[in-house]
Amino acid sequence: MNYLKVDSVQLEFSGRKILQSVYLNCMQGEVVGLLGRNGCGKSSLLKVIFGTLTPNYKYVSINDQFIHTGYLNNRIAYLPQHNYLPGGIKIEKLARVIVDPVSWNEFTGLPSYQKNYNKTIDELSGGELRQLETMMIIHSKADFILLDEPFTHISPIQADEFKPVIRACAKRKGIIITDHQYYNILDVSDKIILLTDGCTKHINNVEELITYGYISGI
Amino acid sequence: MSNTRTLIWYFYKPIFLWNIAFSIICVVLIAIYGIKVNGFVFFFKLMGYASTIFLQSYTAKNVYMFYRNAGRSIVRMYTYTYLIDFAIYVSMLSLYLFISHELFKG
Repeated sequence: MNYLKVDSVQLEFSGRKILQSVYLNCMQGEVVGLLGRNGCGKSSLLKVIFGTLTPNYKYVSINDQFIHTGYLNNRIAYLPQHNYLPGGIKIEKLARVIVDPVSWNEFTGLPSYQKNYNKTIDELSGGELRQLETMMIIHSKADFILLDEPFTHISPIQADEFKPVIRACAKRKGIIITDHQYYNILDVSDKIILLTDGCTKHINNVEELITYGYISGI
Repeated sequence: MSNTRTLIWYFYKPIFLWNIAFSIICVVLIAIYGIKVNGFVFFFKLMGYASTIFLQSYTAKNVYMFYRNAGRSIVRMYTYTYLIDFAIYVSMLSLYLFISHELFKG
């Protein structure tokens, strides 16, 4: 079983320490929820794991093998907060280079794909595009999936449709997910990690989120 | 391999016209001033590549994530694309030199 380990990440911007004592691991078949306040470094941590942000120090490994650039050879896929699909190309053609052939039938069976496969991104609404982009990443070839705010910009009913898909995907892959809609993260995750003051805290029960000042009440 | 070819085409498509325009200008400069300006023309072509990266970084940087999620590095995508573009430029220049030589002979 594959496992991703992230340790000793140190990141600073202009002398300000963003991440200093980070440890997390994610097994294949597991959804890890990453919570934290605005600007605490959640997205930066995901970019460090993915390999697009270079910190002062990091140790990222898959099966104890050091990974310098996570995205090379489809080891790790990342859903950024912004749209990432190129324009002028049909959704079906874009999906064919991202989606794992093993998951192709499952992916093409999704209502959002069937409705839009023949369109380009300019013909989609913001919510439809976000949903398709998220689904492409979830069904990609990567062993580990990083989802940065997948529940943002989509309707509650779309969010409810996502959760079973994420759970089903987690049977084959490891997933690290972050969002400000913490109740969705709590619903879908096997374990929760709170990022506060640049450090990761492993949360065992929801009350600890109040203790650490992330939420004011349940 | 077929995925790599497809990805290179998707990457090259939005910058194709811009780079072909630079290639045409380069061939026209050689047609007007002769092969003696080839150093400047080569520099001009490199400026075309630099301007492409600059423009892409400002207008289409978000799209880089698509190629990374396909498992490819952006440096590698630019390298493949520019090698193909340079091959097209050399073909255009060779064709021009061949035609002008044939005409001169005639």
